[in-house]
Amino acid sequence: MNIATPSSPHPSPSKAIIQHWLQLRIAESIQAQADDIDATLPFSYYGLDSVASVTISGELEIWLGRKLPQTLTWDYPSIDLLSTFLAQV
Amino acid sequence: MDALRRARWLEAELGDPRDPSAEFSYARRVEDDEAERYPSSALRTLLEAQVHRHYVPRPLGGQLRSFEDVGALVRVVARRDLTVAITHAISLLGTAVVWLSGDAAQQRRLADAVLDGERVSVALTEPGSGSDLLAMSVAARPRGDGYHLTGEKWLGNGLDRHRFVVVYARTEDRGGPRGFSHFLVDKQAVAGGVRASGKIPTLGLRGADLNGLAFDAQLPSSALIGASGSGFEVILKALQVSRTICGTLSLGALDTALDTVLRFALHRRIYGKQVAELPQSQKLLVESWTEMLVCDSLTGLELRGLHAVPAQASVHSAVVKYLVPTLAEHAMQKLSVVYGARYYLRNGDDPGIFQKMYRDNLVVSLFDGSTQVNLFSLSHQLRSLVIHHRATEMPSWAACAREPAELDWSKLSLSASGQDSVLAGFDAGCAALRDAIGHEPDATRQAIEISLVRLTQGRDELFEAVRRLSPGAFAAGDPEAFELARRYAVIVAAAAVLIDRHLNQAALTGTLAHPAVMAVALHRLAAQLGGVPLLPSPCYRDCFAALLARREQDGHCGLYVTQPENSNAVT
Repeated sequence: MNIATPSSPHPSPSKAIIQHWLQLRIAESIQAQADDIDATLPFSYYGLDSVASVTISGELEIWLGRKLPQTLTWDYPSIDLLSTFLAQV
Repeated sequence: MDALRRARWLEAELGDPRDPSAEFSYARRVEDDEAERYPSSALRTLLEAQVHRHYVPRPLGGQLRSFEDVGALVRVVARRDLTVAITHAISLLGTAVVWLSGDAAQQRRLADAVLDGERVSVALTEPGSGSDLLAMSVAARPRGDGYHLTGEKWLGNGLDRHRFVVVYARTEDRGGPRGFSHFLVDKQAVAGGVRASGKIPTLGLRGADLNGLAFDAQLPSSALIGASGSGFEVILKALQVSRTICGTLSLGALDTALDTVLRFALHRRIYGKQVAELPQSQKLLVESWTEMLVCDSLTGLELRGLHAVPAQASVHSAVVKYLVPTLAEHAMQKLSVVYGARYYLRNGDDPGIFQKMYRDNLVVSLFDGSTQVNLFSLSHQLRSLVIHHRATEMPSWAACAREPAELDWSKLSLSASGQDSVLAGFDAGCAALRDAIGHEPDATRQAIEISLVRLTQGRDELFEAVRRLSPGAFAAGDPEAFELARRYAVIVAAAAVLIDRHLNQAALTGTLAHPAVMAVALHRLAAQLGGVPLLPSPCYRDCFAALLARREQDGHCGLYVTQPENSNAVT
């Protein structure tokens, strides 16, 4: 997955699309398959500490093309919680 | 340049460090250190000079105009005694927490205390938790109208002595990045609830009051600083400021080490010559000198950057905090070679100041986030920094004549979102230097060209390696991620030096704007990447001549000339 040239940003991605993006992102970081990533487990379970997970907010910003708080993954610490939040706003 | 005027003023206030009768003489500073005595009288001198007023922002009644000013003042103290400089500057971290997130009443209260001459400690680390800010166990739980604070903090500066302590405590049992908060503890108000451990003996900074505090205290609700759960985010931002200032601590130590050894080398004769006439001594001396100039340039630029591009401070502060103390350690090690047996003596020709600076500087790599912590946090941002990188003009804010904007604390950010305007100016800086040295002798020009090519190539290799390395390797703290972060810091330092030389040429006439000096400085940085040949010996010789000429100007070897002025010059 290349975060510099994401597939064209969906105008308002659904929760499922965001969730899939996050699963791909986490899977890439631990060299696993996206299907193996449990969306309900905290990011820390997959080795992303609080500082590392801040970078995910930055990557999401680029992909979604909108400004996001850097501490997003702290307040929504799993794929499920985060994608639910992002799909709502 | 205002920071310089302030430095000159404080130089004059503190006097000649070689005059043993002065409070801030090397002799007196070593005396306190040997006796492991808290430097009360030196701190009183700083109090009388009102240096602490520069730690309080102007809107709160202080004189904090820019962190470059603060850094210049800290450097003047540090070159006399790191124990005093660190003990005094400790207030910068705790106050930053309150300027960042405290309410108006807390800011007023702390500003008044600091303006009255109180120092503020930070109780952050604990015996069992290393550098892991999310592992701290001291807890504050709601009780009655406020909080009940329990547990033990450890290795804080002045915890026993200072009335105000900013305590970082767990406010959610499960912890996590929203599980910690800061409390402003007035020890007088919770007298029975605080027990100090007593002084912890250390390798260096022997007069410092490092200790632990055990809490079993009821705090009022007004002690909570900022929103509950904001502690982790706020301390990471406050550390961006203090880590950048840390560069000036190492610079002060290196400045004195260099001055001490240079004096020795100019007077001591061996093999029928002055030590300073031996080519190998000249090489070691100018390598140490140019490493100091690089550190001076980088630190000054990034202190300006705190005001101009605060959103990039997460990157820039890590670069300074990693590179400057480490380069200073290496430079002092080289100086110790020139100093020979005398570096090991505690009663040699100098009053023991070399070995004190050597020992004391080692602590700078450890506190406010160790070298490894800074490289790790920098490594997390490399992917986004590389992906967003775009070469630009040199950043105009780096010009030292510009009036700095008031620091907007709210713009400090946990990540630079891929932006680094210093690195972005690297190519433009290389081009400007090539233009400027067109008429220099071949040897100097070629030496500079070889380093510029190596640094550019090093930047490109770094970018490629970052793109290649899996995100998992960064998350897992793979050694390669640390090495890439180290290289990134080196390239940023090179960019800083090139930008500084171009934008501030007039101020750097005798130092980095001198081609022979720049040749050695760039060579030192390129050597950090490996694969560069030694410089031809005329380069070292010419640079050494520049070092002596620089010293002729005001007796110092720093990046800027700091002639003592009338102490009324700055108020």
